[in-house]
Formats: sequence, C-alpha cells, structure tokens
Amino acid sequence: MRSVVRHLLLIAFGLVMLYPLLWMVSSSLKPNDLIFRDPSLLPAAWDLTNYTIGWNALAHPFTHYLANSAVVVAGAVLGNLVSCSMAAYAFARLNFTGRRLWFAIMLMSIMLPIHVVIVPQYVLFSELDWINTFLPLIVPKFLATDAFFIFLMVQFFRGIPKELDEAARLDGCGHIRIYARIMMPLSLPALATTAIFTFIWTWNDFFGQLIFLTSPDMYTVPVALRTFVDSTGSSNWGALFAMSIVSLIPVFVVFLFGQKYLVKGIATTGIK
Amino acid sequence: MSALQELSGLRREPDRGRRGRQARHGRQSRSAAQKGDNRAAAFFLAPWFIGLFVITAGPLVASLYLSFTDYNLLQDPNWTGWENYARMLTDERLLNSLGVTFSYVLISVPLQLAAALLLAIVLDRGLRALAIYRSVFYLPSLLGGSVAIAILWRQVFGTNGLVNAFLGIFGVEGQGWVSHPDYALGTLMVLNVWTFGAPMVIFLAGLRQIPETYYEAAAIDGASRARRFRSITLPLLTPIIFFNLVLQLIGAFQSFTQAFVVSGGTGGPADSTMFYTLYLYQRGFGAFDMGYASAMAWLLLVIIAGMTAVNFLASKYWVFYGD
Amino acid sequence: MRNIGHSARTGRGRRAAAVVGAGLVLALAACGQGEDPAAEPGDDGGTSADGGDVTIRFAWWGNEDRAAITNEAVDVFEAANPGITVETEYVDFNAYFDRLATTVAAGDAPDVITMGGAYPREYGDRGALLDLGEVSEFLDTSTLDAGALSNGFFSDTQYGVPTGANTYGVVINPAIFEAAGVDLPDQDSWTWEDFADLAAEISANTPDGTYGAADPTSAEVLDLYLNHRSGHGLYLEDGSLNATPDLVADWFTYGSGLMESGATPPATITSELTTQTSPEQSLLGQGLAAMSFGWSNNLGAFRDASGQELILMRVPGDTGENGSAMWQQASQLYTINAQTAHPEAAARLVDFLVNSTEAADLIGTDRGVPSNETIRAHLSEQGLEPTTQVEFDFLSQVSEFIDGDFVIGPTGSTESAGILTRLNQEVLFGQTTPEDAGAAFVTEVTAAIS
Repeated sequence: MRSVVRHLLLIAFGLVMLYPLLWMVSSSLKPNDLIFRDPSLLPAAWDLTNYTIGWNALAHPFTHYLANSAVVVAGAVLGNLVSCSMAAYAFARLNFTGRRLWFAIMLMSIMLPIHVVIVPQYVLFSELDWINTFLPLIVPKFLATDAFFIFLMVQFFRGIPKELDEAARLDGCGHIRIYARIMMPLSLPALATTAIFTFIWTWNDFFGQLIFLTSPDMYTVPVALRTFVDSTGSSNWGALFAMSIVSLIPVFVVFLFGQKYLVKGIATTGIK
Repeated sequence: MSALQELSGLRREPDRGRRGRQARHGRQSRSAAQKGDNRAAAFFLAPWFIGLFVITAGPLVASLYLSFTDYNLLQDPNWTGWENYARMLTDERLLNSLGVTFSYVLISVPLQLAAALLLAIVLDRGLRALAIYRSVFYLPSLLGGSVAIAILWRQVFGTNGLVNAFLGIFGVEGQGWVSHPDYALGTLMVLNVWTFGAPMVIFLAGLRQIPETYYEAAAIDGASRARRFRSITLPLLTPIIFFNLVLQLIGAFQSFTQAFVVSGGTGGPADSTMFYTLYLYQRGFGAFDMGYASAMAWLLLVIIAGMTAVNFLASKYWVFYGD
Repeated sequence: MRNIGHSARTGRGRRAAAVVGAGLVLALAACGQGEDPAAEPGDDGGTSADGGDVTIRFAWWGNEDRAAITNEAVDVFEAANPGITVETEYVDFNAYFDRLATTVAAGDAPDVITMGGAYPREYGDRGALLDLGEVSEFLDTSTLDAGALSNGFFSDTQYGVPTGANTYGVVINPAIFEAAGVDLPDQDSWTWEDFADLAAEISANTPDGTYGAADPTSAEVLDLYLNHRSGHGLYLEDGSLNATPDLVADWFTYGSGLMESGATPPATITSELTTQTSPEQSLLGQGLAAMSFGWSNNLGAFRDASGQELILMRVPGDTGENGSAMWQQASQLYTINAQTAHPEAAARLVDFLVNSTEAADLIGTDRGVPSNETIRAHLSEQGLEPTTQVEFDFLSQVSEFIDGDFVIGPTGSTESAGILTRLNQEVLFGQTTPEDAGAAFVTEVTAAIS
C-alpha cells in the first residue's frame, strides 16, 4: 500500500518533470503552423510528417549528423578515459614534486569561460590545419583537458586502499602495471561514470562544435539542429522538435543502461 | 575510509605527514622514492602536460595578456594597462550582472542540491522500476542547452503557459513569468533545479555507500526514521554534499547557456537575467570588446577560485569524515 | 596575376593572429608547426585567369531552404567557372556571427562573407573587408540600384553589394479589422495618432488576447519616427547620433501610451515576444494582432504562419511635414574578406550571384527583391508567386517616396537595438520614466559609437 502511494507520487512528480518534454513530443506531431497557435497537449491527429521531413530536410539524411556526433563522442569518451585516468593516477598515487601546485593549476583551468579562450584556440587549431576536422574536438580529450574528470577520478582512486598497490609493489610491480592491472579494473565504475558523462556532455555541446566545424558536411547533431531555425526568416519548428527528440534517444538509452553502473559504481570502489 | 568520503577532495593526506617523518629518518630512501615517483609522474602526466601547455595554457595566458589591451577581435591589440579593470568598477551593467549571478548561485545551487538529495533518497532502494524513474528524472538534464528549451520554458512560464493554466483553476490570474523582470531570474532558477540529474546520481551513489549495518543497529535502538536520517544518513553524506557543492558552484558561476537560450541572448527582460558570462559574451562577441571581456573573465576566475577556497576552508567545520 | 589579398594576409591579419597566439608560440615550434609565417594555404593557388584551380569559401546564415537553393546556384557557378571550387558554410543567424568573429580574428575567415544590419561597418571600418573597387574588373556594380548599393558604401569605400532590397512597412491582417468592424486606414494620409486610435479601437472590439498592434518599438521604427519629427533618422550622415533625449522620450511616451490604452499587449507579452523573434511566434503570425511593423520580405513567412491574406502598408506619419522617412535597405550584403587569397574568384562569385539570371532563377527573392533591374524584369517575366508579387509592388510603390540615401549606423551601432529593447522594457514595466529612458538611450548609444 505504502509503495503504491510512493509510485503514484513519483509518477505525478515525473509528469511535472516531463511536461515540457511531452509538449515537445506533442508539438513534433503537429503541423508547423499550428505549433504556436494551438497550445493543446494532445495533437488533433498523430502525424509523423515532421519526422520524415526533418530526417531528410538537411543536405544529408539525419543519420549523417548522428554519425558525425557518434565519431566525436566516441573519440572524446576514449580520450577522456585514457588520459584522465592516467593523470588521476599520478595525482592520487604519486608523490611528485609540486603536486599541490599542479593540482591547483588543473582546477583553475576549468574556471575560465570558454568565450575568451576560443579565439586563441582557433588560432592554434587553424595553424595545425585542424579546422573543419574532428581533431579539435577529440585530440584535446586525449590530452586530458577535461579537468573535471581528472578531479573526479582522483577522488575515486583515493578510495582504493593503498595496501593493494603497496603489496603489488613488493611483488615487483611497476607503476604502469599497478595502474593497468589494479587501478583500472577496480575503478571500472569510475570509468563508466566518466564515459557516460562525457557521452552526454559531448553529445549536447554546441559552441565548440559550431566554431571548429565550419562545413555543413561535418556538422554534428547540435549544430545541424540549428539549421532548422532562422531567427530572421521562417523556421521549421516541427522538424526541429522531431529531430530534437530523435537526438535525445541515444543519450536516454545510454543513461538508462548506464545508470546501474553509475550507481553500483562509486559504491563498489569502497573496498574495505 | 570510503571512496565517497574521499570524493570530497577535502581530506588532507595524513600519509604525507607520515612520509615526511619517515624521510627525516631516512633521507636517502625518501629522495630515491621521490625520484622514482617523479619519473613515473612524468610518464602518467605526459598527456596532461602536453594538453596544459599546448591547448590550455596558451589561450589562458593569451587571454590574460589581452585583458590589458583594447583587443577588438579584428585589429591588433594595443596595450592599455589597467584600463579595462578600472572600467569594470564603474560599469553599472557589470555590477548588475554580478548581482544577478550571485543571487542565482546562492539560491539555485542549494535548492538544486536539496532536490537532488531528496530524490536520491526516494529513489535509493525498495521500489520497483527504479531504473526507469531515475532515467525519467535525469531526462531534463539531457536536454542541456537545446534550442528547444527556450520554447519549452515559455510553454511552462509564459503568459499562456502551464503555470498560469494551473493558477487559473484557482481563479488566480497569472502573468508572463518568464518575461517579467521581477520573476524571469526565478524561472531560470527553477530551470536549474529542474536539471538536478547529475548531482542526484552522485547522491545515489553516496547513499549506497552507507553500510546497511548502521541502520540495522539504529532500528534495534528504536530510532525513528527522521532520527536515523539526521544521525546516520546526513553526517555520512556530508563529504558528498560538499563535493557536489564545490562542483555545482563552479558550474553555476559560469552559467551561460540556459540564460542565453531562454532570453534569446539578450539577458532580458531589462537585464534581469544578465548573467556575468552572458554579459562577458555580449561584450566580447557582440560589441567586439574582447580586451574587456578577457578582463571580465579573469575577475570571474578570481571570484570562483576565492569561493572554492572559502568552501574548502569552511568544510572543516561541517564535513564529517567517518574514520 | 599575383593575387591582391596575399600581402594583406601576411600583413596585419597574420600579426594579429601571432599576437593572439603569443602563449602558443613555444608549443607550436615544438610541434614543428607555424615556424614559417609565409606558408599560407592560399599561397600556392593564384587566382590567375589562365585557370589554376582555386577553392574559395562562401558563408551565409539562414535555414535549410536557403541552403538548398544557394548550393544549387553555386553548382551552376562552378560549372561555368571550371577553375573555381566553392565550399559553402551556413548556420543560423546568431551562430553565424559568433563564428564569423572568431574566424576573422584568427585570420581564417571565409572569402565571400554575407553581412547584414550594421555589421558591414563594424567589420569594414576595422579593415576586415576588401574594397570592392579593387576587383571591379570582375564584379560589376553599375547594374544595381543606387539606393540599395549605398547600403554597402561607407568610409568612402564600396565594401558590400546588396543581395536584394527590402523596405519597411506595416503588415496588416484585414480579417481582424473586419471582425472588429474597423475600416482599413488610408496609407497615404494616416498619422501616428491614427495608428494609436485604430489599434485601441480594434483591441476593444475583439476578444481578449487579440490586439490592435504589436509593440512597435524597434531601432527601425524609432529611426522612422525621428525622421518624421526632425527630418533625420537615428544617425546623421557624419556618423553622429541625431536622436535627442526629448525626441526619444516622446517615443517612449507614445509606446507606453499604446500599452496603457490597450492598443498593444501588456509588458510581459511584449517582453516575451522580444526573445521569440521568428514570424511563427509573433502575434501577427499567430493571428493575434491586426498590425505590426515588419520587413517586406517577411510577408510570406507571416502569411504562412497566420494562414491569412496579410497585406503591406506604408508606415503612418510618412506624409507629414518632414516628408517620407522611408528607405530601401539591402536585406543582406555580399562582402569579400580583405585577406582573401583569391579576390578574383570571390568577386566572380558575387557577380554571378547578383547579376546573373541563372542565379536569380534559383535564388529568386530569398534574399530580398533583387537590386538589378534586369534581374527584376526577368523574374517578373517568369511569373511571381502571389506573395512575391505583393512584395514587388510594395517596394516599387514605396521607392517613389524615398528621398536620399539610407544612413548607415556607425561602428558600434549594432548595440543600439539591444539598448533600445532593454530601455523599452524598463519603461513598459514602469521601472523608469520615458524621460529618463530617453536620456539613457542617448548616453548609452553615444558611448557605444564613440
């Protein structure tokens, strides 16, 4: 009985949380000119035209942009996993010179707004001839520029008992082996956290992808979605909503299946 | 000691002190170990160092330099010394944007964390279909800065929005919340609270961390639910609360996308949602005043770093470490 | 022929890029990159007439329909100019200008750049745009209407070529007039007072939520109003501000008076609409306003959104003592990057876009009514869509009254629209008085353009 009440409350709250999304789904099923004139949540007819139009309205079928986003996301996830875990290992386990200072510098690097560093970054990438490739969006991840995740993993690593790697050292293991054989498997959940957050945030990132990908062939989903709207002329709102929903599906699925690792995740690192 | 307590990042490293004492006993072995650690650190940090010096530091230093110039994006910068910084002191719109940002941070971050914590407790265990609920409650966070947010928000808080429809049931005539200078910032705070997914997930993990045996013992002692929450859950969760607080604060000070999208880039109505970074962006890209924008960025960095430091210092008094 | 732009690119632009990248120099050298500032991608491909292959980049903003027809036109251009490859770049308006600022700053901007509003001056006066006189051999501007062409002429230089012309007017929904039992105004005599009275009457005679007019405050309308009152618009020819605190205060009094009489919607709705600028979201587009100021080229979008046969009329007060305030404005301008490595190819592309019937057949009036009379005649011969016909007619009707050239806002004037919107909101919400707002407007705009 108690749990029925809880379910009802959760469902009610869930509906409040989801109302804007439901409105978006409903709008994606309405003809373009009715979206703003007809505020009702239930569309008069279930019409999938916006989806077929949206899918094919741009220069390429929408799969093209999904694929571009997938490439960027895959590169970013892989890069963050490798580079951030390496840096985190150093910060969590190695007593090297100037560690505190470097740690503070790392934290500082996430405190400056992107808008003032984008121009110098653009200069750099254009000198490297990387503009209009996915490299500016992927290579930095392999160079551990997402300090957020280093910080996150440092905290995870510190939770793994030191006795484990000290024992391994006595057995003659070097740092590389300790990192690869002990830390990585034990922090699998931490890696899952990093992977999922990187996936979601990269999938949604707009500004970097807008600036570094200039050719419409290279557009990723967030940039491609913008080409449905034009504040100076007419916009295809129906197609925008339809394709926004399409682009939500992959992240939603990733979260749905990934959340059990996230939650299991941090808990299992606390080996006593 | 648990991973989650460590998550707070506050924990001073007792092993360091121990090592220092050991070092006094055997200077030889300490420096050898340090050398070995230095070498290993050079290897593990190599990607990060390259990234820091090639990608992060260059633009960082460049922006610091530009903050002392009249750089307008299109022409060579000229050195103007402290002029940009002096101008900030008398810039009323900048002061207003600081006020807007501080009230946003100070109100919406605690509310968001409270919502995240509450939902994490409800969704912790003992119910069917928890995966679905968690995912549903995370869903708004997935929307990020989508263009659609602007429309959605008007649909909820606009003149003909959901909130007013709801008020209408009780015969209260609402107004356009999202477009009224007195309430627009409030709707952005609600938007921030609405996207509590990420801290919720971390709280969920934190709750999982608390050993079941504590609760069992408390139940035997006949402690009430409220009491169990107050004396077990809350104290053991403080490191996580602290961790979320630090990161959400850094994030909230830099809030840009939501205000940009909802206000159509204007920070309106009447500058009431003019976040600091939004104003910075307008100066830099709208008015080609990138030198000034760079100076603003460095002021922001100092503010955030200061707040973070204060946070770390204050945490001594309220963050509880179990061991 | 050695290309003209090259020296420019190795000069100022390179220097700026080098200074911005000051912190990067060491790192770049370490990567074996960027040591030779003379090694530019454009260096190896001269734009010689004897046909070395060149690639140029062409950027514009807008939706996917515009992209489709423009890309088709570019294909035709490439077929006619075998040595030239055109890479196209497009995105929505706001994102476009963020990206443009970044790429220009980094010395990596597109070769042909679409501009609008006061942006050409922002870029041109700071040396980012090519003097089109340098490429007049390949780009014929003599075919274009002087009025529209003057939109791209400032600081004694022709920096831009109009893609087409627009004019401003009142878009009217006759169905709402009829429902309210109000007669349509006479566009050759109506005054600002008539506008206010009509709007109030319509609001009173229609259901709640339908208004006589949308809030009229915008930089364009203020320009017209000032012109009617003083004989000059916002700015004078010499780039100084003409608006005085009193006149602007009068405008704010007029605008808030409209709101108080119910002629225009309450402040919250007006402020809501300023962030939702697409025709579908406007009161007019939703069929909830009888009158709204707007650009002639948006008529089609307003008609589609509202599903009504909207019409265009001349603005009120245009037959007063100071005469017509109307201008023809280039809806957009094509400009060429000052640092382009291929000015000839870029100029040929622009020439093709504005002077060829092949391009016109594809692009039509998407970027305004073409400023080339031959092209206009060609399009008319092909037969126009009814909505386009209305635009054509209105433009030619209005052009009879246009006196003098359009004054282009000086550098920094892009900010005036934002300043006006913010102050208008403060007035409508009662946070400030029209007098204070008028004074603030003059102070702030003066600071922005100085």
